[in-house]
Amino acid sequence: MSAPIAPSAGQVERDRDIARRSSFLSRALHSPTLMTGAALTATIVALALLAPVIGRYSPVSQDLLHQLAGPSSAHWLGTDELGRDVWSRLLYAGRTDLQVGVLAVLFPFAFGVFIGTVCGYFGGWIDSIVMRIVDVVLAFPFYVLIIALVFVVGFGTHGIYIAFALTDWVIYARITRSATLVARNLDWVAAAEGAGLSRTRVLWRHILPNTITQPIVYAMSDIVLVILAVVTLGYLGLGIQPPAPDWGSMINDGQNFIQTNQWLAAIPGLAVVLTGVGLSLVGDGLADILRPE
Amino acid sequence: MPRFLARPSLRYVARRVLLAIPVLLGVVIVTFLLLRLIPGDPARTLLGLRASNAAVAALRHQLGLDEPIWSQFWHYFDGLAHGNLGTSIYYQVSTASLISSRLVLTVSLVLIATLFAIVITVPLAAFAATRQDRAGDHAVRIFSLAGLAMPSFWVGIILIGFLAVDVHWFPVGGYGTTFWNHLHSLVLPGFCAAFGIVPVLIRSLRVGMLEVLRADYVATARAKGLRPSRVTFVHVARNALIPTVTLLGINVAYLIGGTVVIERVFALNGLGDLMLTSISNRDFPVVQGVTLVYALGVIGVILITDLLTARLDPRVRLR
Amino acid sequence: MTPLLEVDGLVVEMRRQRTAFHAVDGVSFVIERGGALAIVGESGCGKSLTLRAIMGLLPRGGRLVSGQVIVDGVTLDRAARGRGRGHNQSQRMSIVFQDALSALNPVSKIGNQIAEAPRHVLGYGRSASRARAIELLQLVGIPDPERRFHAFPHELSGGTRQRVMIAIALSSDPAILLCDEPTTALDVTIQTQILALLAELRVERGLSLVFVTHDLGVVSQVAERLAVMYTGRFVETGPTEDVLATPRHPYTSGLLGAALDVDTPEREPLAIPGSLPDPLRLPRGCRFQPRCSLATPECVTTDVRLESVGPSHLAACLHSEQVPSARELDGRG
Repeated sequence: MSAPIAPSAGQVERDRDIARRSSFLSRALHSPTLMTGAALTATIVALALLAPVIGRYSPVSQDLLHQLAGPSSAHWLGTDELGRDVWSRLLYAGRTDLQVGVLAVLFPFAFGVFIGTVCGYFGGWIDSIVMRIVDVVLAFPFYVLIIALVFVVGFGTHGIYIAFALTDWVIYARITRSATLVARNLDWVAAAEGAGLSRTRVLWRHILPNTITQPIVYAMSDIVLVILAVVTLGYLGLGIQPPAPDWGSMINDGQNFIQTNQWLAAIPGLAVVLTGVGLSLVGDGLADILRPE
Repeated sequence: MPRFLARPSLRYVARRVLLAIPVLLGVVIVTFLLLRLIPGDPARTLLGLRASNAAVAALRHQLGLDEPIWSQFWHYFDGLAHGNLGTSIYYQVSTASLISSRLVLTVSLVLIATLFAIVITVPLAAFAATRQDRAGDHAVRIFSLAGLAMPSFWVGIILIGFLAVDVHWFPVGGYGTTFWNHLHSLVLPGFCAAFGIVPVLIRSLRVGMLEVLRADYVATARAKGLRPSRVTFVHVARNALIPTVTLLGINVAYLIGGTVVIERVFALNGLGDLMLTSISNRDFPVVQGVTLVYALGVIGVILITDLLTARLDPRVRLR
Repeated sequence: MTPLLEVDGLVVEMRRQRTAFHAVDGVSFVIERGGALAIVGESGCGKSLTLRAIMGLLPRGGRLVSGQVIVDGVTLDRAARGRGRGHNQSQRMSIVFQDALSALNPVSKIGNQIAEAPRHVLGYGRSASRARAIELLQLVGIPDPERRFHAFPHELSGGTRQRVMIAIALSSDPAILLCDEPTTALDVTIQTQILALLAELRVERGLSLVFVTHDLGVVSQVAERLAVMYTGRFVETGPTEDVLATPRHPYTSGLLGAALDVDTPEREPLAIPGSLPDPLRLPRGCRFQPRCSLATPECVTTDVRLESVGPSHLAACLHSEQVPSARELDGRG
């Protein structure tokens, strides 16, 4: 019998990657949590994206003859105090809130993972200084800091982006740093380093694939957090400025009519809840799958 | 008095306090820098385009913007050391006096909210942990998943609609005049503020409790033949207390931040309301002062939870 | 004389996600007063679960399917055992776990943990139970017991912690000590001390012992009877000396061959070919046959059971006479 031919190291790596990816996909498809969350989120995103098509009115056009109307065939969810169609506003607000929510997380994610990796891998004075900064940021209550920052740099979407860019990166940094510290001590990382691989290659090819899963899982719940914050700022009038629709300001407007038209305040909140539930399910599902068993 | 609640060493206490100082310093620096983040000329931005140049110049002087930056910082720092948080532009009184008049309400709100958070979270988490993967556990987890996504102010509005407007169990807003009025009017706000962290707490505490329940020392305790109630209270609960306190400490900062919005929803004149009003008034010194006070509060709470954890967990005291 | 402990046909099911299997598949043995049995097997063969099932401390996902445990003539109630023990049932048996650090309450002083059973189960008063705890600390060889009473588990060394575990096990005045790999996590020198302690306790107090381990090297120091376990079943039982000198099951022989022997250091350890079967897809017939050099077609078709192969010596093998003895193994390799 001839001896089996040993596969090349590159082939082994490729095979392993393929195996890893396909097993991930199969586990993903079999996770009810992930699938439900993905379905829910996809539906909401689709609705938001299709706002111009499904929403039958412009979100800002007023109709002062039909204020505070109940649901009807003309207005599926009725109208608000200025006669604006609630359904259309809901969709457009979703569009804005989702967009801002996701975009606001991008920089904190990227920067946080980057700085966390650097701190965890290199340690030293960078690590000490950055971790002190993280402690300081975390000493402020989240909303207090966000509100103060939005006040200072200006309201509206650009203020929101700046405020989150300055504050939201810290948890990513902490998570990534811990994961990097663990990964750095693994045997095969030491082997790669000993083999003379450049630091960047080690970081990119060996450490990052292992440390990136936790920040990604956290990002799901962070998007929920950010959307909640955007909505809260909108409620306080510090966020997305009128007349652009936003779930938060819709709730604020609706609060005035809580005695007579309770749904005006309730419905935008429900939209937030559904979006949050969808994203959280995705996050939970991912956490289950990516957990090293 | 249980004999295992020994005190953490003086050294440990001193260390924790010492470690808090750089954070304190950092917080002061950050609040100092807030003014500098205002785009353009801060004084002009604060007063608006229509203000006269004289008014702008006066404000610049009042805010100390016409001095070199280290001198500004020194004045700021020195003022803080003497309890001076600046003067409100809008009210022309000391910021500190504004804050102290509102402090009691906000502190009470935070305390009541924390109480609610503990009272709701612990039983639910314990319930879910002891019935892992059965119907009860799933119910609790679904409830906390939904709760995670609910804006606490929205919950407040809905609750006002049901419990205050429809049935008059609670006031729609305001603080009341007597002590009992105060308490009564803080119930709904306290619950809503707690609601901001309860879902996260339940999820985390459930995991913590599962770890305790599955621990070998629980098996050892059962093997001794102890009554189940003793196993639960002395062995399980006592150990589950540690992650509870730790989690509470981590999340209370978020809770405190949440009270800012809650105060607006329920028309309570606390610190949060002061902050929001000052934002509308473009009253920078007050915003700055309130932000600082909130951060100091968080640092204090974290210190207390650290010390509490050390008291509860003998393993921590070695560090 | 009725035996002290009789375990009859123990079957434990382990359930994970959707799958379930019998981790312990029909285990029976008898312990006489003052007697000792060592149960040997690789990780995952079900030996720890056997002890836990006897004590009624099965982990999550574990379920006692069938089998009886009879202590001193009294059949233990399965329902009460399943839910954790009724206190009068546990007094005859105690268990010592492998990892003392996780088996001791981290927030409670060790003295209090030792005093707990006397105080709350045996009915001693406060000072009497404290005195008893100090007595036990001394008994297990911990110096300066009055001071050590106030120590917390994490402040002690591994060996001392294991002694504390034994003290706790003794605190409820048991007649039988079930030991779940108590020395596995310890250094060899400490190991010897603990084993000596156990031997002493057997002699002085007439304690019976069931000692679970994966280390064949310690069994002759511990127990006069040995049972070898594979995939949830005993494949060989008998007097320790006999089993070690003339094993009658290929697996036992394999374990012996795989062990390093200090008396014949030149002999290389021989690995048992193959690996443990997937518990959900056990081989037909004899479960060891895929890895066995003596296997014949008969081994696949017959449901092999424990048969007598010598005085008090049982083995579950169709070819037990062909199994190489220890001397033959030493000659090889």
